[in-house]
Amino acid sequence: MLSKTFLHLINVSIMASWLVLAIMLFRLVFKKAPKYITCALWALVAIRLIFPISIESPVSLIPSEETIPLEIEYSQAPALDTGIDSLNIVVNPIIQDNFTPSDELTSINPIQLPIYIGAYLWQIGIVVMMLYALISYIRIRLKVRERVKTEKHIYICDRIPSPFILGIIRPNIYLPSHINEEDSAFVIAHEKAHIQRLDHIWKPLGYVLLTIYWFNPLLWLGYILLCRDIEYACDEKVVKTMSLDAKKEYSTTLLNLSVHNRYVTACPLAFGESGVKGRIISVLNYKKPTFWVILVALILCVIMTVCFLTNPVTKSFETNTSSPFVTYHKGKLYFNCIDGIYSCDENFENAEYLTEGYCDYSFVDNYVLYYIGESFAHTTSIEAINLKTLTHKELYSSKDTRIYYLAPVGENFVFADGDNLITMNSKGEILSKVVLDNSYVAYSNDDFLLYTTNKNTEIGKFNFETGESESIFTLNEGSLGWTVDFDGKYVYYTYVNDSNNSFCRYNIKNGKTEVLLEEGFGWEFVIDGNICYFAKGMGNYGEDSLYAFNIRSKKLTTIPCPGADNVTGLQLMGDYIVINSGNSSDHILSMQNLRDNSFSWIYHELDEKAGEALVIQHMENEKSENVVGTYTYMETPSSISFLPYLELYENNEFRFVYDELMSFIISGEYELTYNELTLHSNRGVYTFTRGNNSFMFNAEKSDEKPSSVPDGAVFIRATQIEEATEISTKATISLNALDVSNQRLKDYLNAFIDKIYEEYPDAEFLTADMDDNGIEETWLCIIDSTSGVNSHIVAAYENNVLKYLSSTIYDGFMSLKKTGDKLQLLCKDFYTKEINSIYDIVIENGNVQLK
Amino acid sequence: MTLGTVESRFADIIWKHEPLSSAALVKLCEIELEWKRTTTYTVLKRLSERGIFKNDNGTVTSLISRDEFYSMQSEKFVDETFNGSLPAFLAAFTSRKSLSETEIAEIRNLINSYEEE
Repeated sequence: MLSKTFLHLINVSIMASWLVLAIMLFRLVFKKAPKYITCALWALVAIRLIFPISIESPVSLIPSEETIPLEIEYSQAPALDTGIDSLNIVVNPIIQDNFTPSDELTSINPIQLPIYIGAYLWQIGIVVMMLYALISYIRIRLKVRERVKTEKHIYICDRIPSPFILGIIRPNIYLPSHINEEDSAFVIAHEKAHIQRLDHIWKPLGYVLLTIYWFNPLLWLGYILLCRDIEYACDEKVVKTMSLDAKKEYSTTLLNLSVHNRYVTACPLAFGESGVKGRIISVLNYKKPTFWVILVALILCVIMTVCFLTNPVTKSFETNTSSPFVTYHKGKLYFNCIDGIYSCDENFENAEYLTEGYCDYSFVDNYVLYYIGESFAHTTSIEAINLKTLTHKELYSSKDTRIYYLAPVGENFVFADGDNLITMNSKGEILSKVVLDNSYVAYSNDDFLLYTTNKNTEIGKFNFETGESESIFTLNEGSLGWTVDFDGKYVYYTYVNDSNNSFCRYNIKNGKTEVLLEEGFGWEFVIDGNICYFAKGMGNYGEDSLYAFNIRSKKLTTIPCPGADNVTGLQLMGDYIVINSGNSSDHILSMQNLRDNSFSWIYHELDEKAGEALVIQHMENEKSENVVGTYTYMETPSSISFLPYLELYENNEFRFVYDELMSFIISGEYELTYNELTLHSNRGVYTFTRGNNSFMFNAEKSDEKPSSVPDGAVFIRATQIEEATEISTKATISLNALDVSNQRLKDYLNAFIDKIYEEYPDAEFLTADMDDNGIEETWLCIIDSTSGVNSHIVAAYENNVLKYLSSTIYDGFMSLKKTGDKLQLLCKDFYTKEINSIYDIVIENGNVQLK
Repeated sequence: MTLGTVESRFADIIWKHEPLSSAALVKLCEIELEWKRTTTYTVLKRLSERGIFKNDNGTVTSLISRDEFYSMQSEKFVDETFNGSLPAFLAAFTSRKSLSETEIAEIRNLINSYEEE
């Protein structure tokens, strides 16, 4: 993707610009410093530009790694991150005023065009720069054909203005024939010094980089200064051992050569060059720099290397798991111990006690790490399975202390063993060890973490910004389970009382507690959108199911899962739930695919080979981690019970799904220009017209016309669906059959229901169970009866599947009533509130009909 | 009328061996100057245009003898025909900024009066 490369290079060049500015400052302050040090600093700029990926460091002085987000083209609110807040505040409103995508679905995101044009101009610039170099090279090469050799690698030419070196591998020195004998000795000394210093390589290299980064004026300045510093450094090398008289003669030569050059037109590159006078003064004044000057300059050099060759630290440690042991926030780690929560720095040093509390354990990303021990309360070793290679090994074993708090830290992980907090890499090598008590944290986000206190009755919040902790709520009776989740509005937890577990949430805004599932809830749960997946948990032997509980519809679904026996941990990984289960003698890890309900063993002590098939599935699934965008076609014909969608990945691959059957999933590589999207697959080419966060199917330019995707079908970006739906409902468009088993649609549905909540706070979410030939069906009708004037049915939800969605306007209030096997809509008079009409709700042709 | 050092070396070969065939000249230049055939022809053509030599159906002769030429030559060679400058990526000896007469005088003064502190 050309624009992306371009944006990336802009970001790299901005990072390099900071270094250029720093070097310019260095040159100003350390005029006396040997010039070879300055040249070495310029090499840092080259390294920056050549190796765009570099190490992160907390001492990095570069404000922002990605000034222009690579995703800016797709962004609803394009914004820059300069790394300087006050600058962001000034710049971003201007950008957003000018470049925020307009409402029309088919218009181009306004920022895409300038980027596209920019990328185009950039290419032209590169060609121009290359042509300049090529033509100059050919011209000079032609001139030096007429040469006479004086010594090895030294030639005399008539038609050149000034001495120079040509050639990279076998550099030759060319002298103009008009220079006299005395001068030529100095000139040759100078040119030889150039060759020794390899300047004939550095200078062209600098030019190559300038060719690529030509758009950055600071780098032009940098290049000009580099050229100058190279000459100064070279002069330095030549005159180092010279007497004053020799220096004077050398200076005279410099002057003589310049005098001859005055017919030569100034090169455009030569602007601002101080020229020969500066060099002469510097040569005459040259004294061997004192040891201290060199030392100070070298130290500064090293500091600059560290500060500017490293990128600012990104929050790579940050985990999005619901129950991390250790939370990374702004350079600090937060974790729990038996006596409460601690913070420490990234090296696990300077631990500090913050507040009382503790939390639960979890898994590590692509590595599945788990404990083994005699019992749950006595886990004494850590074992790891690499999901990619399926290799399994023991990483750590303790004699008699309990191991806790396994958590990812970058590519490594951390755990506590007795009184030590240990970081280890995946090879099992101990990286660091810090003496501490045990540790745990319940939930964390960018701003704060939640913890449960050690009596299991209180949840508290620790604010990273202020460093203060506060209690959120306390139970009067019963106790909290060990898993806690938070969705921005509610804290979800297990409430344990009289050996019954119920699922509850606490609204942090109004302080109200709500019981979502009264009984039969488990110890372990993970929340994905509106669905809470849970397992009965530890101590429940013989269990063979996971459960999916819909927080909104209160619908409970059983998912058969052979790995659900005595579950000690659940973790969500993309479409999978990883299950840690079994007991000490039969330790098990398994995975449940939530998308297709398949189940796989990862590790089973009795059958170590299990799970090979899983790895392949899992690898395929990884693809979706780099999704650039998902686009859905919302208005399918009524005969099709599926929403086609289009998924674009970062590596230019795509997935175009227009039927539920796997055989209709098209994949291959795509090509994106500013106005068109072309999918190349082995089935042929599919073309879409590019819109503002949407793509319109162009059947004429496509090889196939799927029945579910007519010409002109608009695929809307996932985040836009909500908005589009709003328009749809207002325009009384009926949407058809939505399959909720699809994760995307689940998200859509959740977003939709949220929207209704927001817009119609008093909307009734009515449910009715119907027994029809022994098949249980659950209905959910969403009715807005707020105004009493324009009430309408917004949606009907059946058996966990939103199948019907229509909009019909009535006068008066409405309510639902279930009579026998019928679902009826009762309409009440606006004034008298008496029922004036009853409709049977009938589903015909996929639409809700009222009779 | 002027010749540069390199051109003089070339001219000397012709003056020494004339009349000679252009093929022989190419051969001589290859041995003495390590020149390629095209280079020899380019320079020969240029000097013929200046009226020093002529190439008559493959026979090279001089129009001006060596002595005549050197008595005519009065000033040192400065190639004013060089247009443009050294490409930016070459490591060279001097900068490309031209100096005015006063600047030259000033710098010369600076060099001469400089004393070690």
